Amino acid sequence: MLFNSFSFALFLPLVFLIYWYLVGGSLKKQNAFLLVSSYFFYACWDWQFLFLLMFSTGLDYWSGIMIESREGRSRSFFLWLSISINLGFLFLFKYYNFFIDSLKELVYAVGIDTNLKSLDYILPVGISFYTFHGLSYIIDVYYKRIKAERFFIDYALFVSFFPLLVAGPIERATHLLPQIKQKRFFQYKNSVDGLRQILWGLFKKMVIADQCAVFADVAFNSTGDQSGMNLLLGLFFFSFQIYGDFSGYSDIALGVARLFGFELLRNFAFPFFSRDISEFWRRWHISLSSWFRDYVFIPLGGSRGTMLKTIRNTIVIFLLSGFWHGANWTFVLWGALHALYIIPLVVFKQNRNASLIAGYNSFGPSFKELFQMLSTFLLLSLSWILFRANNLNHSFYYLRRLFTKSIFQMPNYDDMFLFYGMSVLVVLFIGVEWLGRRKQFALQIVDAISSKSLRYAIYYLLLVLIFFMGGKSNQFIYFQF
Amino acid sequence: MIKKLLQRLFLFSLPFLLVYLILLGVLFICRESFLNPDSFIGKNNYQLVGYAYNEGNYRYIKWKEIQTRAPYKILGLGASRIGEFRDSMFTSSFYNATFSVKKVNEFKPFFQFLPVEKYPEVLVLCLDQHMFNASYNNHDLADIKENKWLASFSFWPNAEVIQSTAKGILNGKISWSTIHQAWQQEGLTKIGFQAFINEQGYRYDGSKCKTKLIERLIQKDKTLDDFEFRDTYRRIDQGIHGFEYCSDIDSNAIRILSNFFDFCHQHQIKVVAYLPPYADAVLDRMQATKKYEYLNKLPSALNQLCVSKAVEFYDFTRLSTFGSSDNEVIDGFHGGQVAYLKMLLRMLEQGSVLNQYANYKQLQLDLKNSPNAYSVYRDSFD
Repeated sequence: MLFNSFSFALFLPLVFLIYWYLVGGSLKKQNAFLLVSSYFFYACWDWQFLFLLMFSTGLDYWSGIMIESREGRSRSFFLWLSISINLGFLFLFKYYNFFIDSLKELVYAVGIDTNLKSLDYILPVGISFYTFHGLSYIIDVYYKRIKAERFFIDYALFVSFFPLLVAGPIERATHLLPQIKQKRFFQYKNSVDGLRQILWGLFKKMVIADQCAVFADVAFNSTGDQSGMNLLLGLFFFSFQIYGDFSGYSDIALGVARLFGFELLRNFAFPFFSRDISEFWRRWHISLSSWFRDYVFIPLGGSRGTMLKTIRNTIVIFLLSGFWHGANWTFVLWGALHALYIIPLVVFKQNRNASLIAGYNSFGPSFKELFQMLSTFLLLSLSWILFRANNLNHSFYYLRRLFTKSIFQMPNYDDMFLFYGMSVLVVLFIGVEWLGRRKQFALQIVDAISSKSLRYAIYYLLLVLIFFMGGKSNQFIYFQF
Repeated sequence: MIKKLLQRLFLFSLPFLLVYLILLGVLFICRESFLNPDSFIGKNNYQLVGYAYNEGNYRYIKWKEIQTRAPYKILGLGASRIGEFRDSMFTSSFYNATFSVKKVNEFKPFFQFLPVEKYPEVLVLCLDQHMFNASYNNHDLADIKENKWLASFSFWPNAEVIQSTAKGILNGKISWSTIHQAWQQEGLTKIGFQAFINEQGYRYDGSKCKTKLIERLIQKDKTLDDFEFRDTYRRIDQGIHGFEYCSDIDSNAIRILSNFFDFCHQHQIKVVAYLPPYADAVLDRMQATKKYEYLNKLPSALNQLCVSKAVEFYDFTRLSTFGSSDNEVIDGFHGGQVAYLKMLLRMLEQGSVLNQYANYKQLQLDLKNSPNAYSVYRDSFD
């Protein structure tokens, strides 16, 4: 069930009430109930793949105990057993057809015909996310950063907690397991803030993302019929679509978790205010980029070795990150492009400049910061072509059509009224995000308004916008990963 | 503290809950939602079904009408450009399954899921030109394995329907007098917003009714979307929405159609197929672009196929070929009832099998007595 669906609107209050009123007195009951609810949530997507989730959970639980109870090489054996099987499933469901089709094309190009067959099945929802949950746990146990969890229900809840099950954030055992093992008590302020975060997430998804999608789809679905200007605007709208969609989902996930007394890892920290690509990756899908940093980049040597090794390691994690997003060469190239963006910063040691957000100590950005943000945004927008296009041919075709004289034409859409309206809304949205950039999420700036009526008026306005502009129940983009 | 949160949440949500309940009430009263079509399918207790936001229900209703009722002698099947054929035009039982299919790969499954005893003796089949246009949006012609007609019904309104209803009330399209009229109605004469507001929808015989639209056409209302074909011209200029540019016929679509003709032959269904008309001005504009070469190739290709399969075929692409004109069209690519009656008369004149199911002289008389250039038979929904 989607977060922005009626069924979830029925599911969440029911789980909330039972959680606090019926099982709130016992930690074991709280965790068991949440686990059952999470499995039910997942089964609503596809009950058959629930068994795969359970198997993966069971495997990592058992592997963790084996690793902790062993010494020497047998510890490594169980580590690599778990990694192989987990990645094996991920490969089978997500990448097998891609490799087979690519291999077929390659050998066909040299004149050889093959009988290699693709497999016909759908991708289990959330497999990329819960696989990485499990891997982070097993690796942390191996490196003795955390003790193996002996209580299966607690571990299973860590993997399957429903707010983060299908599209993250990718939690760490060191962060979430201690919360699971501690009894939760209802906190009014935290819950209210959680509800606000849900509201803000719904607004970002249903108003910003779903409406921007209209113009992004026009650009990508009928590239040949659009002017360069429409294609450029299509990229900008897609940037906001994917941001609204993904960060909106994360906000809803974090907000829902807070209703149950959990604090999940922050996944987005106003990435479009980044002054360079390096800062962007510290603010965008933070849970994934930090996962690759901690479990791939640092074990490979990180930036401790020679410059060439650092560059190699950087390329590896960006290629893997691109690949994680999807089984298509476009995603791999997208990752490679970002590696290309970052390498100059790494070489000239400019990749750790910005720690505080732009304009942290002032109302507005400086001219330099504004220029940096706009340039970074433009580079990002161009990279989204590879992310959104159907295939490589389409990507290059988009680029060719983009950089023509028609890039200087006025925008031309069937519904110009919607275009102007959305443009104004996006600018206002950027303004609100800018004002709230020092907060966890932008809507928290409402706390500065002393008038309760005005605060409630803002919440109502958001709800009215969601009501009138949302409603299509478009799937979240990152569900396909 | 939980109680405090729940209380505050409830009070905060109360206005929305009230509005939500009102909208649900409006949907219920106007029978746009919450009315199970099985309560009227197969019975003679309704006259006009016109949904504004639940068009998916039409496919369910059409398919189930055929499944439920005694077998029809003649069945009309197609997208929107067969909708003007009425039961009054035939002397045997006729049902118009317009809007039931959109692509050629839906013809055969539509029948395959029906009991064999419900198959008609004659099938009047509308072959939209864009069904053979590979550039047409959503041209997936994969096999259909599930009964999508049964699955297309929706009892509960989704968020989009509720939202559209709210917008409709706010912009005055759904007025309080409409709701009052629906409230006052006894029985199921009219079902759905379109039926109450515009007397538009589908009659009990499946044919399309456009009462208010025709009134506006007669008054030459300049606010009509396709006034002087401006919306159709826009589609041609941009190559969109059924007017995608295409130079060659989709051979896969021809193959699928051939397969369907074999199926009909196997079940002794006589097929009368036709290409529906465009307004002459629209057709001329399309030809002038030289981007619709497939249109020139289509009639001969279909004629060749139909001859080989003993299927009657009529090319009615141009209105003037059967004595009609741009004065008798609803919009750039939909003829009115007068135009469709002329098409039927032309078929009968050319010795169609439909002569066994229609009275040529009576139809000529009906044409002569047409109240206007768009309608032949009057409607009354009291």
